[in-house]
Amino acid sequence: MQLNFGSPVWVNAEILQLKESRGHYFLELVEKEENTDQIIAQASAIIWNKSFKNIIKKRGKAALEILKEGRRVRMLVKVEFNERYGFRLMPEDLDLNFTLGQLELQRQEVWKKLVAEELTDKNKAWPLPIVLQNVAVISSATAAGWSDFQAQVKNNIHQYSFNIDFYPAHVQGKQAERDIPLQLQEIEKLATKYDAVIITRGGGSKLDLSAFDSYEICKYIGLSSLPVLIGVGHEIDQSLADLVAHTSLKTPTAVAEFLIQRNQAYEEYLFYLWDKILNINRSSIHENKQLLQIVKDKISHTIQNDLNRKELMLKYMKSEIGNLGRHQLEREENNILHIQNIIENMRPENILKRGYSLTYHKGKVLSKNSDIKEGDVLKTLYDGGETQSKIIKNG
Amino acid sequence: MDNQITYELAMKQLEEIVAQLEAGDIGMDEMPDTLKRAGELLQYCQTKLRMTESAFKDFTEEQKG
Repeated sequence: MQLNFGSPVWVNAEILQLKESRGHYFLELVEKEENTDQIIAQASAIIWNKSFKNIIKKRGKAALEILKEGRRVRMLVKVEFNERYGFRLMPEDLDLNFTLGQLELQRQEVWKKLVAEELTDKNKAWPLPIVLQNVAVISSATAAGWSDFQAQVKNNIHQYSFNIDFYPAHVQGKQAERDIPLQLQEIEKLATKYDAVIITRGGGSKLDLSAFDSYEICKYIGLSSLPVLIGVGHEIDQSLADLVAHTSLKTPTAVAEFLIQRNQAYEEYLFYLWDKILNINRSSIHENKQLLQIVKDKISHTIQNDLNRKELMLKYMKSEIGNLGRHQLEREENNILHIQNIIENMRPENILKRGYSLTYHKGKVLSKNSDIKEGDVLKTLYDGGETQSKIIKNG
Repeated sequence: MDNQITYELAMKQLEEIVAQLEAGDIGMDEMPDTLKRAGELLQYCQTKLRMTESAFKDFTEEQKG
């Protein structure tokens, strides 16, 4: 077989297992049947340390990311047969573009599945609380992103305090595809305790971040009842996790800044409301003062007018009663005087003064009823004297 | 002066007295009592008016202060 493959050949395979020892990489490569994942071909491969260094030199550190379990790879291999170890492949080079292309195809398949299951916009539908204070953070304890995030949050100039629960997880490779969904499920059990979930890690290459294109991570982000904020240090393209998360930010620091700014915006809004309330109160007090002054003035004028009117009315009454009483008294006095005059005029001496005389017979005023006879003596009074006369003839 | 009387009632009674005087309805026998009553009513109304004026003065000075 070795003789048949004198020169290296390019082979496509999936890395089923990978072990590293003293810089040597021991791989199990397989070919699976499409749709069923059933292994239809398998071969062992070894990248000796020397070959590995050559590959890194030629392809850069991205090659490290390609050598992961579960990756589809295209390798330039030499076929070797050893009597003791049997048939083995000795990779000498890697086709990065092949793996990236494979990843893109996988990514598209995952996206189609997420769309079909209506998981792409599910998390975005959750309202983000106005204040974000209680958060669950999924990250790796050793990741630079986690310490950046903590430093940013802790040293915020506004001194906002956050309650952060840390949920450790691998943030790279197959382990991330397992850990992150598990932690999302753990957080879901305590969902009422948190305002949001944050998934964060530091920067990395497209291959580093390929776990964030996995169906499992995206599915549990979609199913989370808490808004998921994601801050993985991607370079250009967004991962599928970025697309299904509630809010996608470029870096862990950006996530921390987002939390701080959101709380700051709320605080500023509170200050704005407070100012508004103060201004409204000031304006209301001013208006009410003016209104009160108007009412006071109105009361003053009304009372003054009423008092003036009453004063005038009383004066009028006083004068009217005085005048009317006086007039009536005068009228009565005149009546009395008039009667007195009449009475006075009726006195006999006053009548005599007007030329009349008064004749008495036997001491009584002579009248038609007087029984006078011849020889009777009559006494006649007149103004200034009296005289007596004798009746010579009667009738 | 009875305690039940009000300024308005006193004013009404004064108006009635004026009307009766104008109509000549009050005989001389009733006149002294009527005038006495009118005097009392006027005194009552004037006292009330003075009290109100005094309260009003206090009110305006309080508001100025």
